[in-house]
Amino acid sequence: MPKLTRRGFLQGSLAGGAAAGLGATSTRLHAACAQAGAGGTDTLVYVFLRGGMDGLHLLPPIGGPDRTAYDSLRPNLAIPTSGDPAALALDGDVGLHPAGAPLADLYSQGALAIVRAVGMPTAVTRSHFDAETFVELGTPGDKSTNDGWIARHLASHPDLDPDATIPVLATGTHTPTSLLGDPGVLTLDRPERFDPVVAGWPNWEGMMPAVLSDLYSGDDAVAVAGQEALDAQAVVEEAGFADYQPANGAIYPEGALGQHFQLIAQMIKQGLGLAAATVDFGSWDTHNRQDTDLGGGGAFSSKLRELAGALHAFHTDLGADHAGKVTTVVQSEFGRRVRENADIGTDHGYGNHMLVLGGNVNGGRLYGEWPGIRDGERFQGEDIQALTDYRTVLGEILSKRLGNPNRDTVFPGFTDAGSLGVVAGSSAATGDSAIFCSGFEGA
Amino acid sequence: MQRRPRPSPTRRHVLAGGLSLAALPATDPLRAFADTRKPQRRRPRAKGVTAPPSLAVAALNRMGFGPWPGDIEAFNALGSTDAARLQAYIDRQLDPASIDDAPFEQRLADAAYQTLGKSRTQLWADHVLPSFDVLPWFERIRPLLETEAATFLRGVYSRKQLVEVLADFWHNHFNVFAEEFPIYSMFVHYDREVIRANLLGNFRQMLEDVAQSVCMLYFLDNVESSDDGPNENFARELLELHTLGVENYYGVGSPDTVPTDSNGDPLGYVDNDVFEAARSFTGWTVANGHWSDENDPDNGSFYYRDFWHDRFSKLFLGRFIPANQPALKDGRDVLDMLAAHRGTAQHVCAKLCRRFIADDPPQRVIDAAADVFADQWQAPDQLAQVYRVILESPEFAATWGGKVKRPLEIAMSAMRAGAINLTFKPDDTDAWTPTEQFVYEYAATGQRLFHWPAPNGYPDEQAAWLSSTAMIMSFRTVNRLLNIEHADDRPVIDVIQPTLDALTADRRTAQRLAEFWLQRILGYLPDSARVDRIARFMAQEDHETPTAIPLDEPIDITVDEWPHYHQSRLRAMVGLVLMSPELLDR
Repeated sequence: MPKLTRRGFLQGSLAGGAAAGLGATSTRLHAACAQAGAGGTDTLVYVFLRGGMDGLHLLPPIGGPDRTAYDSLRPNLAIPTSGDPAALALDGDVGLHPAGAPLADLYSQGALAIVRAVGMPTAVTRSHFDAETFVELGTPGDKSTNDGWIARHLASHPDLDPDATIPVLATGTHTPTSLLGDPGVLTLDRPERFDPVVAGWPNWEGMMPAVLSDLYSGDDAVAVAGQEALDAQAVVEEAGFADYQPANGAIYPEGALGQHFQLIAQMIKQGLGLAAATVDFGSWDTHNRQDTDLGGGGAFSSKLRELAGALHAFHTDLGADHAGKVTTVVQSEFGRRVRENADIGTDHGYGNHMLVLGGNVNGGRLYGEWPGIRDGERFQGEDIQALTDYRTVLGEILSKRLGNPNRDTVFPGFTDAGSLGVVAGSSAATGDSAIFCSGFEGA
Repeated sequence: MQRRPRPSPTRRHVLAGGLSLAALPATDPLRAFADTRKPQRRRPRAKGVTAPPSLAVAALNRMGFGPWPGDIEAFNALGSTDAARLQAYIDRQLDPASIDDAPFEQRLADAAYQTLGKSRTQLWADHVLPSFDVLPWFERIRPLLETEAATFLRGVYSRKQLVEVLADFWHNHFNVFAEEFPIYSMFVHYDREVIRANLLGNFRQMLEDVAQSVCMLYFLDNVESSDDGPNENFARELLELHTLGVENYYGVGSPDTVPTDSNGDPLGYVDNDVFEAARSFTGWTVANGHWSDENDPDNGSFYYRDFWHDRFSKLFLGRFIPANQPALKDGRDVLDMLAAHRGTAQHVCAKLCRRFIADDPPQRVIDAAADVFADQWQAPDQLAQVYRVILESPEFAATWGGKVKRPLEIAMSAMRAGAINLTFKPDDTDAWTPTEQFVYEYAATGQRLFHWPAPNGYPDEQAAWLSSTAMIMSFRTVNRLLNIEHADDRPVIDVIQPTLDALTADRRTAQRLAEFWLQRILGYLPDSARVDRIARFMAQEDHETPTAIPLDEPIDITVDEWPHYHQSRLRAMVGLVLMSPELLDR
């Protein structure tokens, strides 16, 4: 089958001229879908919670010795175990913030796994920007790396279609560091406005984008960026992302986060060869009045409610047809101090939790050694320890779900090839199972 | 899986010898990485740094937001040689009081902003204190909206262009996210008395004004920091972003691990310095009527709450700060040490050079600027002296293409080159005003003014915004600008009259129209292929009909009628010129 590239897609549609309607488009999209299947890899969805999400507030202890320490270190911030609102029971003595209720549902479905006390054991920093850079470059301690870990994953994948229509999507307006150096990334915030020509402007049958495309035909960084942007715009317009009905009764939360997850779901269902997508969700830096209303009105509660709702809607929307080929990872640059500060907030900490969601996730379980939060168990007396390297988790996903055996390239110098068993599947070298792609009429 | 956290071998530690090499894990990730061959996919050729098309073009695009029609000629009239012209231009821009800014002043008067002249306490009284039931939301945020509008007004119309570029630089350096209570209400004060009042002055003074501003005190939480539990947020970003920079951060270890200079002073900081700085700033707050303090006047002024201050001794950057110092002294000592530190000079000057010269600026200029920054740290015109070093460097005049304009710079450039006629002004009526149409499109680039949520400000390296969304939305913003009309149907950017004025009817050929507008907008003519492509668009070429009108045949641009719509076509052509890759160079 001939490869379908973004350029080829466009040239095909231009050759058809104005007659190239949705029928022709959908045939091409089907072709792309089948092509994407040949690689046998999951779509990676990488969600970054910027600002340092307070993992202890997400998963408060609801019993045992941790609870005693928690009550004493967080006298004003602790989530109660009874009354309304109260922490939800998740797993034994581990509770869940009430605003995260949809996560409990995903957990009990077996779709959500949680890795605790994870982080960067080899590099300690309490700088947001250092920590984010280290995590996203995939080289803790070294900021001189000139590409992001997802960019290296895509570049080193042995049989990823290098010419997929939309191989990689960064939702939002900026390219995150994890994709730094990737030459094909599409950043997309709001598809309905993603057009260089405003409505109502005479466009002479698309001549303005065509001339722009000629103006940006060079091979320097600006020209390539402009050309990529124009190509992407044409694809987005053809694919018609503005009209979409989520499946299986999924309801995305209002706001940019829900829109971004919905866009990813749509691209996956349309079979555009999406290998990786990123989601940025910020404002977790809760130094002050972290959560004055646990019922959803507090700063943390409202963020969590949106996050949990979006993850739940996304998984539901993908449904049985697609969820098994999508692995979503949620992480933050670090956790927060165990002891609350004087402003009913928390300062920058260290270890944190990672969430892994998907149809082939061994969910409903907690992973990672848990150090506890009592005196003597905390890192430097203050923080949750980082006992599991986040690259161990990503490395396992890389190998078992993304079909990329080149861990050493993606995480250079990281020698731990271990696996916690968070996801199903065999390692990439032995090959992956076939996938099924239902294209437009799916779900 | 590791059982215990390892020591933290950051690059800095390794280089500084802060940890013995024996303490490193057997396979040092840093070294192993250096040997890793990187995978290759198709990558764009790096845009070479070349000589600028002309010194005028370089100066106007780097010390300002690009040329207004006539600026190139005015620059070239400043002297008989390039060097003399640049020198005269720098001298004038560094002495903004000497610049006749009458057209801008008239615009500013016409805009009749209501809040830009209000004092700090007046802003507090008018826009913060009234309850949410009483004060309409628009009035509460009017100070922010008027600052935003005025920033566009100044950037487009003021001849003090360097001041505008610097205001944007320092707003990002001391970034506060303006959509938070009560920052939006007080933003006028931050812009006028903190950022603009100091940008040609002294960095140490600016630091103190920032540290005492309502906006920063709230944004980074120092407003509530007390000895009962110091809040680290401000202290950490003060060290990491505002002064020493994260390149001088030695991690979470003991202060003893920080290497020292020949005087025995530490080259950088560790977490302990953050904590000690946080203690030093306890009690620096805002008079906001705190329940615990009956003397608090609740007028929005800076307020030192003595009983919140941690009065005991501190050890900061290797220096002892004694206990029981007079009011404010601990914090001022910290600011003094930071402002005088060589690391601060290097960090700030590297950022300035990145803004003025290239994403990866030459080290020689950074060092030369840092020398002056450090030597003159107490001079009232310290920053002007520093800018002068950078602007007068050979590297500033000789390089081009090391920067790609950010969305803000693209929009400003396009509006200036198009000689836009628009008095930017917020509006609370149902009308969809030209200012609102513009800001709506521009905000979708992801770089709306004062809306970056993190304290580090918008990134200043092109990789961050050479993204499909930022590019498409920048194009769309330009396209929208050519499409916005005043209430009386006049376009905000008029392309017809300047063309009629400049070219006689017999000279209005597609070829000459393209040349005229390329020259007017870019300040030079790009290569002939570029001119030809623009000209063929003007000549009605489309994918079915190549060159409907000969390139040398005059076109009647006094009419806009079926089938050719020449005036609309000319507007679209100008839009394409404004979206061309050359406009993105600086």
